[in-house]
Amino acid sequence: MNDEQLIDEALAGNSAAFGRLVLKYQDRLYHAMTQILGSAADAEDVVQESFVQAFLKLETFRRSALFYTWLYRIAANAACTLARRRRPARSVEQMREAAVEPADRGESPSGRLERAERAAQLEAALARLPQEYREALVLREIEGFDYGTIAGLLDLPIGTVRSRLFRARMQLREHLKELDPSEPPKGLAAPTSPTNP
Amino acid sequence: MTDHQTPLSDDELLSAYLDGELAGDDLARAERLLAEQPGSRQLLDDLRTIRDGLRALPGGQLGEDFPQRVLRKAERQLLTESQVSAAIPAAHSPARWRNKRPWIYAAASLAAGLLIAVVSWPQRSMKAPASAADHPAADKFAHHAPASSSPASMYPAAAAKPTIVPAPPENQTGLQAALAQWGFNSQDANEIVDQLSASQKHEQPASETPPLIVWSLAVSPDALEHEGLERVLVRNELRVVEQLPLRGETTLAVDAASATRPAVKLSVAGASAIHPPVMAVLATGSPQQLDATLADLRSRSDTFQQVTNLGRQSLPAGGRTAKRKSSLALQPGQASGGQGQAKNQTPTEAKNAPRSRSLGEVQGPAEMVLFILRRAEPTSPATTSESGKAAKPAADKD
Repeated sequence: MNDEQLIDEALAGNSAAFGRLVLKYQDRLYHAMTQILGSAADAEDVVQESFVQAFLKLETFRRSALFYTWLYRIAANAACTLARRRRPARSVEQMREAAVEPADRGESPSGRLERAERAAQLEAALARLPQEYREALVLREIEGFDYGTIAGLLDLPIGTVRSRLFRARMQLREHLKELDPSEPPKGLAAPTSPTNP
Repeated sequence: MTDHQTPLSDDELLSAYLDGELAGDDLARAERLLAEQPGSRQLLDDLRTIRDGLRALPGGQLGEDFPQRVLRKAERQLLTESQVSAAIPAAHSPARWRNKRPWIYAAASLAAGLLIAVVSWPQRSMKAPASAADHPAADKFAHHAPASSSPASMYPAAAAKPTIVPAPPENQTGLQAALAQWGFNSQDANEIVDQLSASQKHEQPASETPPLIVWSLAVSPDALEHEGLERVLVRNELRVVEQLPLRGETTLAVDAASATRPAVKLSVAGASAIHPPVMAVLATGSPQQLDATLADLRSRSDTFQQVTNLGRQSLPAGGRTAKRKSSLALQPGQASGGQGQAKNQTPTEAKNAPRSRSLGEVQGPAEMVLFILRRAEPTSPATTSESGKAAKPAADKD
């Protein structure tokens, strides 16, 4: 059953259908909100509240947009409200702890630790970006939206989206250098072919 | 990309190139830069490495039970919204709720206890000899209460702002009256009540009477409302059945008796107010949910400064006509923060006080837990540690 059908079912009173929509998108939205808010607990609250609002306002959803982009807009508004009330509270150490995932088979403890440290550094650098830059970067790199979709979601011209992404990346690059001046910017994956954008 | 009138800087051009958002002259220019300038290639490498790192950031998972938590919260909010709607006649639209009837029914089925609380709370509140405004601690609760107080608001401040629900006509139940207040016609109200009744009969086998577990919680004076017990209960999917401020002597009587079907009835003896206010919240859940809730509460020691297990009251299965009663006496220090309020009652007052006041009947197959909430005393300098944080009281064992 696709999103349209699940929405129809939910509007007809089948709340389980809406539950399936939640299950489908909850982790994706949670991941994005965690990076934007810099707090897993806040992200969970925002995601839960966003789905609740989506459930209550489902009859106002216009099918011209994808359900997820509509949902994301609700979540972004909730995140903005929360971010205005709070300041980033996570330390690099907390981020490092949060970044540690269950062990993958075949990965050595030292490799796992290194990967977690890199993720922690990246999250720490991301958290230092202004909110509007961080949000643009999350929408592009984590959500995978193109410029047009990001512009629609943020209600911005495409040129502003491009500019924000550029500035976000340059600031992130500088922050990473500050966090570890002995190393070039660290990612979790090895660089791919330089001719492949 | 040709949406710009002035040329992009080389670096911004490469950023857009990384995103695959260039075309025409811009794309050709970017490729020329990369072919001719090592610095441009280095920048693109750096940006790509960052991009790959961001894409590989570990994402958490909310679990398969998350949709249920969302739906439960939405259903509760739907009920709250309906109550607010009823309180604002101009904005009130029964037709809107009729359109949402399937959801309302689902919400009503899941939150039957909540509905009963909405109906019964004002009657209790109107009998209160002292308002929350008389108590500084209650004011503090009120300060943190949300603008649109939920009918399930956990704290005594809710008692200061009762929603007045008129006594129902003789041919109506309290729930029917509340539904009428919310804009349902009598036929719809009867339908919902019938559905609830059927649901309760289905859920409650005649021979089962669940045990009662009692936990005492000391809540930080600085705790925000949204960090309170309600949030923990929702998070762990416990169902709130009943809640109200305790009064008078902190003695709870647990009855397992009913002429028609076994039930657990909580009663509080005494009439005078407790200072500071103490709240009783009755909830149900599976043993696993209770374990998770206890762990959750204890992990939030900033909010719940003390979590004390006061014991488990196992009740004998009630017969259809046999009336059994077990008393659970709480020491004043356990439930009311050591204020010893019962001692302030004169013998005459105690004699004239109601013998018992029902908090509500509990129907359900799961275990029940009674939370006794009190505000922890503000931390005094003498109990403040060197780091400036309040010393955390030790939590008791289960």
